[in-house]
Amino acid sequence: MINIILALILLQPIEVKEYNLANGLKVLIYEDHFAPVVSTQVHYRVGSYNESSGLTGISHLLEHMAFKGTKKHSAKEYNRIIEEAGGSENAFTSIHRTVFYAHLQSDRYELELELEADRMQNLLIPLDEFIPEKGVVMEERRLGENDPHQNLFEHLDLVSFSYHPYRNPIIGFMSDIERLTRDDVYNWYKKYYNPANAIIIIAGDVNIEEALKLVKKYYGKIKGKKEEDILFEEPPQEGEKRFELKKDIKTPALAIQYHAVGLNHEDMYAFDVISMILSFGMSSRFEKNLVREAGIATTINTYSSTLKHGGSFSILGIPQKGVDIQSLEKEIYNEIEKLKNEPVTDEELNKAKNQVLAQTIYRQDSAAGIGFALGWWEIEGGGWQNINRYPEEVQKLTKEDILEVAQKYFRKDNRTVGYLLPKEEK
Amino acid sequence: MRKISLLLLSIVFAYAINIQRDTLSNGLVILTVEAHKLPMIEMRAVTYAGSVFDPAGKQGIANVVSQILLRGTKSRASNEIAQVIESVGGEFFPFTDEDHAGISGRVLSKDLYLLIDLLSDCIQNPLFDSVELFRLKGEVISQIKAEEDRPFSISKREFRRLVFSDHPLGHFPQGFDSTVGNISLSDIKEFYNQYYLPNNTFFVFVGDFQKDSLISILDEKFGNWERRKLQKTKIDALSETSKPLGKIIHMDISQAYILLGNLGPKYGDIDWYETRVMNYILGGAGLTSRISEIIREERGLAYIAYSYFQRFKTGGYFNALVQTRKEMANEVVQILISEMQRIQDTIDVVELSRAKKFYTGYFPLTHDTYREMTSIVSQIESQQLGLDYLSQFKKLIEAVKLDELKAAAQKYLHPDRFYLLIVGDLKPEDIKLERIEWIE
Repeated sequence: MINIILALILLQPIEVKEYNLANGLKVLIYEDHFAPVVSTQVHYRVGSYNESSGLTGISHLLEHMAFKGTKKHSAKEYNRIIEEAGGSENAFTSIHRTVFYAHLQSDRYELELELEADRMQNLLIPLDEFIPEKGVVMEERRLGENDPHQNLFEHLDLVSFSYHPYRNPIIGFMSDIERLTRDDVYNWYKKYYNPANAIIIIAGDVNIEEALKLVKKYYGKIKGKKEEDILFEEPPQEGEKRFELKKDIKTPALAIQYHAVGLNHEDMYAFDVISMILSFGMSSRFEKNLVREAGIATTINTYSSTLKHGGSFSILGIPQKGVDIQSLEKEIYNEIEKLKNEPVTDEELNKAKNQVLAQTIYRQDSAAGIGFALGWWEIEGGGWQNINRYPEEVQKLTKEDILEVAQKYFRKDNRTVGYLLPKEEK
Repeated sequence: MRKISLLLLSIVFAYAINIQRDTLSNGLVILTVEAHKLPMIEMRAVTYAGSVFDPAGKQGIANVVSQILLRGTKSRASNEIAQVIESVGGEFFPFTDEDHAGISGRVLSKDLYLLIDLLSDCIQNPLFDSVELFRLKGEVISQIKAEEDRPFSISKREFRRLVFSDHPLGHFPQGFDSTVGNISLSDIKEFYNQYYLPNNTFFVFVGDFQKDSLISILDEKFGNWERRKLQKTKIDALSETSKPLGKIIHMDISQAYILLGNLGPKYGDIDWYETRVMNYILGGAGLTSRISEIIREERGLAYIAYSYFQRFKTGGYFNALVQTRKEMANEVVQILISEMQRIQDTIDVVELSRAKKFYTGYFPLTHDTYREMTSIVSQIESQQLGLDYLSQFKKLIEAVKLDELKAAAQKYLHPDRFYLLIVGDLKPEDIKLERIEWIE
């Protein structure tokens, strides 16, 4: 307990300056002068959640095409401008966001602001670039299909969510990627890439006034039009779902998913702490009891996924050599039952709270990392300010809260179970 | 600048990176960078006890030793070690690479003493319990088996085996399932006694501490660690294939994982900077390298297409790596071979200038966190780059000349004799190469 009090004293809130331009663009600036480096990020409020059937993967394909040039810069130039400035640039698509970023020395981050403003307004998406890039994305999709555990997780979401867009893979289904046209992607771009649908985050060695001036210079005159999410609600699951996936593998694996809650639901903190108690670190229950002492599993990881419009709690287990997958499943349920039947110990709860506090501090080691987290909280978690609320809420949890959440959600009827198995001999 | 800094064994940079190097009387080297942005400390305890020292038939022992250090001491049970560090939100991880092994960790700065106390116990008083060894071996063997289902992992592992054969660099630190099974408690003790010595170890600490008080805690906890003469195992020199050598690992998947390469420079080889810049142009630069531009950007044949040089203290290798759908495998192999030739013949001065701009501009981004700083300081010590390396890097890159790049390409890239490893649903006749010898 003393440790928790000490850690709370050490925990300074993350200070962020927020500005809102008239066109709807939100600007978040986080100062950190440890190194002469700035991370500049544009987070668009669009991802796989927004894609209907037949259009899966379109946000991700657009992310790829966003590097293929504008009237001002050809595709090749685009790649080379940041490279020659010694920057590290990339982009990613998630369920609710498409993010472009560059980390650069602090004397030149304006370059990325300028390029992103160009990207926001002037993408060409030329057909002669579109066709080979679709090939690249299809290879990316095949990479995931050939990774057995990634493929298992794709199927897990697909079976677990029957209606909600969280069932769709971010990269999209192969036939959708194949079918998407240049015009589909261009229309998607026109719909979602504008200031009202974006946040700019500047994190690192910056002067706030100067950064804001630059943002206004490059983005102030772009027109904004906000797109609201359609709200999908997954019908309650009323019975266990099970599936098998057969691949050219030797070691089977097991995936279990329970429907859980979205961000800002009061139960989300308990799910995160349960995840830590079960699988974070060498002294966690799964690691200690099932991996090391019983020798049943090679690894068992848990993922508490709390998202904007819902969530899930997943477990991935790989049995040790000679252990059958049914025994592993049974042992995992034994641990889950313990969580439902007995309160966690004070020691475990305090440890998890300390771990959350320490991780909150460790995370601040990277200004860019804080930038990404701010975007996540702002778009998915009801506002960036919740980044500071989160560790405080975790500290308030009691053993009873954990017990209640375990009993409420870890029910057989609320779970989906997938087995990854070797193909039968031909 | 260089002279003064060597005298003081300390460098101060424009943005206050001050690397200090101290040595305890038993030879234990301690590198420190004080940084007070956050109340946390990153730590790495590194012993020159990597997998290159694994005896034949016991491959994987270095990894098992570093892991078992955290599985019980004479006064603390395995679970207690994990519990003590994790209960304050701290982290301890064993690590092993080809040259080094040890423990890395991080804690809030208020827990520095706790970290060092635990580290000292784990490193100096390991229990080497037979039950823990039995469990650990089971875990490692199962991990190795599980990795075999992932084509990417298996391709990298088998490529190393193809290039280095029986040489100690021919296996990953994890070893093989058969050899990990052979490791006994007495093997573990012997390996530990031979390599885990203060005079064969260095520590790196980065973060929120006062150096003098850190050194005095370390002296208190490690000062009595006994110095002994290190009996170093000699590692054989490497020899390279005289013809193309190929191997296909069959897997029923839609893509072919193609790895093509040669031997490469080791740490300390003087032509490293030109080799590195040459590779940047060939396949090292994100999407702008030649390999990426041709295979990915122009043709759309792959998502992953790049090349790199991996170095160790006793050797190294070059690897060009592409994943493409299996029907395109032959074409990709032909492109890679022709690019290995082309870079020996022509490099544009514009390409060189772009590479230099990238490296010099990017360098500050390689150590802008405590964690990355810990990593780069470890490299500085292990590779003897000099405490002024962070300020010298730019000059080293600027000094590289165009003809040196071609010379490096000619020295290390051999389109007429190479190693080719493919994982996928392919047969040797699918790859149209003359003179290649396929091995089973």
